[in-house]
Amino acid sequence: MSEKYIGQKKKPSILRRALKATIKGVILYAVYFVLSQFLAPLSEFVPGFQQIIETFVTVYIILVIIAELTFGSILQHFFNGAKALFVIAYIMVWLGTGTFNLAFQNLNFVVDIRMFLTIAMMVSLLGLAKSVLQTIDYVNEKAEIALT
Amino acid sequence: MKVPIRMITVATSFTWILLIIFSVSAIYSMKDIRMDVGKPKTNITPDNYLMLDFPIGIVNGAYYNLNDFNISTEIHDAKEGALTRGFTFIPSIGKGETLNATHEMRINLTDMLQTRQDLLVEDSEFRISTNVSMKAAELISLKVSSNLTLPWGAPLYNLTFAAPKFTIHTAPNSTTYYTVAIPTTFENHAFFDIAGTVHLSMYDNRNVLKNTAEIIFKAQQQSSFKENLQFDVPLAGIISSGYFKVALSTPFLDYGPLVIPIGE
Repeated sequence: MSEKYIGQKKKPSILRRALKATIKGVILYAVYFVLSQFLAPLSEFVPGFQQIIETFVTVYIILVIIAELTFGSILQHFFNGAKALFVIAYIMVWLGTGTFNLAFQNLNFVVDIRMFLTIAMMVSLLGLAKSVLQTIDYVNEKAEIALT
Repeated sequence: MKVPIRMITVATSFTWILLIIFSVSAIYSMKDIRMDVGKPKTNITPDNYLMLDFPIGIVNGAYYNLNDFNISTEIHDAKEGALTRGFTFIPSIGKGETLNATHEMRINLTDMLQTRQDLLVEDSEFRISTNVSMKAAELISLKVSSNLTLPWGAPLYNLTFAAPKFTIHTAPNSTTYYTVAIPTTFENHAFFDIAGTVHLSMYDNRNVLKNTAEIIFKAQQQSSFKENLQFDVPLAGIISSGYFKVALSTPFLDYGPLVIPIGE
């Protein structure tokens, strides 16, 4: 038998989880690849922009793959939480106060994305809340199984 | 708990997709926002204000509207004093819209040239600080600042009065008089014409006023003025030593008096 039960659900086999993780990773990379073409002009103005995005995408994809591979265990929720926290931390570290100063030729640009930052943080916090709820649900189900 | 978790998953995924699509398209399309500032048109108003009209063309090729488009400029002279400020506010520029506007600045020539008389005779350079701010797609604020220079041409550049020349003449009624000619040169480097009056006063070496004259002059912009300021003096009024006091007066500037010695 290749699948174990988690609560009332079947736990998929490692092969299936690996396949799902690969597909998710490939899709995420494809999305990044397409979007990076549109964001390429920004690299001229923001030094290191490409590297910042690449690092984010790399770590995020790794966390998605690990979370997928550990599907059905408490580790999955741990990595989901880590993923949400990583997004929050990255936004906070990279975007800082939400205003950028850029210099191009004899022009100085000040870009204020505080509104965007606020929305992104709220959505990230919602993501973190979701992973906490998933963890509680998982532990709850485990406790129910143990009782029955 | 399964349903709330699923609802949160749907909500966050949907919001993230919208946010990413919005931010990428907003950033990508910002490259299609163009702003061209043309050469200023100059004009002097009857109340002696120098008007600088900068033609501005804004092309919003972005996917979103531009709101609260504000252009503010400040002109400083070489000594860091602010001469004037100008503001232009455009509430909204729709996507794909091209807008032509004029950014106006007014400089009070009388005040400026009376307080900075060196600008009358010396060319200089003004610094224009420009700040452009706008709100793209209601969410991203962008401020662009830049410093430009605007050359200032002195209206009386290199003003020189040579030694006066006295020529004796005899009128048809046999009266003898002198014609006094003061060779005067300057270059009008300014971007406006100047016209006014030269007030000449002749004093002897005991500071007694012997004669006065008023001569009208006119100099076109970007031209040289090379004329003799001449007037007639009766024989009795002529002096062998003393000095002239020369003062220039135009609707927006008074300059002088300058002293030109006689008989040295």
